[in-house]
Amino acid sequence: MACFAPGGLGADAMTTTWWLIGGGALALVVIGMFNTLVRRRNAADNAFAAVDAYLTMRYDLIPNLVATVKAYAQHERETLALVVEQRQQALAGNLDVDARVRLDNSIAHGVQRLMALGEAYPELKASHNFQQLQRALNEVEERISAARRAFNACVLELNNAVDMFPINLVAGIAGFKRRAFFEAPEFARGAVRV
Amino acid sequence: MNESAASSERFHAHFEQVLAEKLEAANAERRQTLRSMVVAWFMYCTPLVALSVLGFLMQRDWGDFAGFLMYGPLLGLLFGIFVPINRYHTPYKKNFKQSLVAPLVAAYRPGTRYSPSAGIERHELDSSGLFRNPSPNRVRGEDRVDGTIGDVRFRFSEVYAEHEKTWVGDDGQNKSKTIHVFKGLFYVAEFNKHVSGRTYVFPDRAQRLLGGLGQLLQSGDKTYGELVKLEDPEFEKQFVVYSTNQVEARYVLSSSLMRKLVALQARTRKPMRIAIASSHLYIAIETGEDNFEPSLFTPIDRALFQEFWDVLDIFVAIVEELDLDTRIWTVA
Repeated sequence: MACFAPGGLGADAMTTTWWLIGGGALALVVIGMFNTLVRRRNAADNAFAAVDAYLTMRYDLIPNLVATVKAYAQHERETLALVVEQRQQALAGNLDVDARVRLDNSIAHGVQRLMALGEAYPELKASHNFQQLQRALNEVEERISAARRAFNACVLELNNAVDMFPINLVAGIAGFKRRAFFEAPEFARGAVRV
Repeated sequence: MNESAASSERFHAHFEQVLAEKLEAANAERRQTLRSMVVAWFMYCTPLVALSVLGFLMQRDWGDFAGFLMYGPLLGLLFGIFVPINRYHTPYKKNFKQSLVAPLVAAYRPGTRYSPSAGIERHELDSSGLFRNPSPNRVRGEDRVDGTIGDVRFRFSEVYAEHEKTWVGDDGQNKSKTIHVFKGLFYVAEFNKHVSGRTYVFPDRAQRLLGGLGQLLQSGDKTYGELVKLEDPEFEKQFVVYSTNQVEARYVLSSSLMRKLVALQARTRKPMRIAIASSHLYIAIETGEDNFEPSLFTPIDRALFQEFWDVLDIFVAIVEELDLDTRIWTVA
């Protein structure tokens, strides 16, 4: 090697070279860690966008649901009004993720109560509109559940990266934070399907 | 009584009412076939062996002709061994399947049909996308069962898939090599959930052998899409999942379907590959053997029919799982 040859680099130059190599390697490792964090954060954002898309599908079904069950909902007028109002709030946006999750859980609960009217009114249950709505809502609920699971898997990856040494050092400096999991609403943990 | 016990009871009832009285005749036919084959071989082989022995004895006197006489019949023996098989064994198997297996399948569930000589076709294997590197270009199948349960149509058969590789060697000659791709049961069912992506489930060998490193290697393999990590620990222990769509993979692999697949794996104890693509569910179970074939040397008994019934049970359980989803969508 040139550094061992007579007339090659001196001791200072060699030390500098080693520092440069070490510094370059460290920079590469740090860049790698940073990119991993960015990739995981983007994956979580992307997964949340999928949840959001399916939640919007649920909101789109609400006017139809309201129109179908209105005549049978004398004892659920408050639920009906609440679901309509909460839908407006959700569509208006400008909510943080936690508030959005709470709101969506409340909407899901309301929708489930309205769908349960089918049990009390056999003619409602037998109506073509109601049955179609039920199918559509079940499909949307399944898709929301799948998107929620995908989102939570991405959040787990991100949180692991934020917590684990040494990548947590990069996360701390670059401002990456743990994210909350998208919890399934309490009432939906048993029978999810409406 | 659970479904499995009820099905087992139905099998035993069908066996006692229909098959038991046919067993004696079937075994008599089996013995007769075996006798006919032995006699045919004897009649075919004796003159050939005699000629060969004559050639051996006369080789000093008859020169080259004795050599021809000695080796020619041996060649004839080699080819002639298949003659009694085609003449007696093939018709016996065909008759056995038509007269005993077909009614068994029909009794399993009305509308279920059995076609002994038909199989799953090559384009269905291709549609599954399960077999790549190499993909099969020679596919044979038999013992196909077609059925409908609720809204779900399904079919399965025994499949033997190979890839024949041909190339021109250094000496300018055409060379060919046959590579085994799959031998076992292949199952196709309509999938009622609308999906646009493709999801694949394979036996998880890498993670079982190498732990975390195995999973790292799996996540780097993009042949079948992105690695999907699911929440069911038992399912994750046995399978590795790839998909072109993370959300859709979780949508199609519902918790109950994952449980069914774990149970199916425990029942089959054979390597199992699954694909959910183009609104179909494909399951390939590598048994590595000819299934549902009656042996000439062992008596036909209850166990042979039970094997077929159990396979029907396994696949119908999966169909019922899919149909269950449909019914939940339509019934509150």
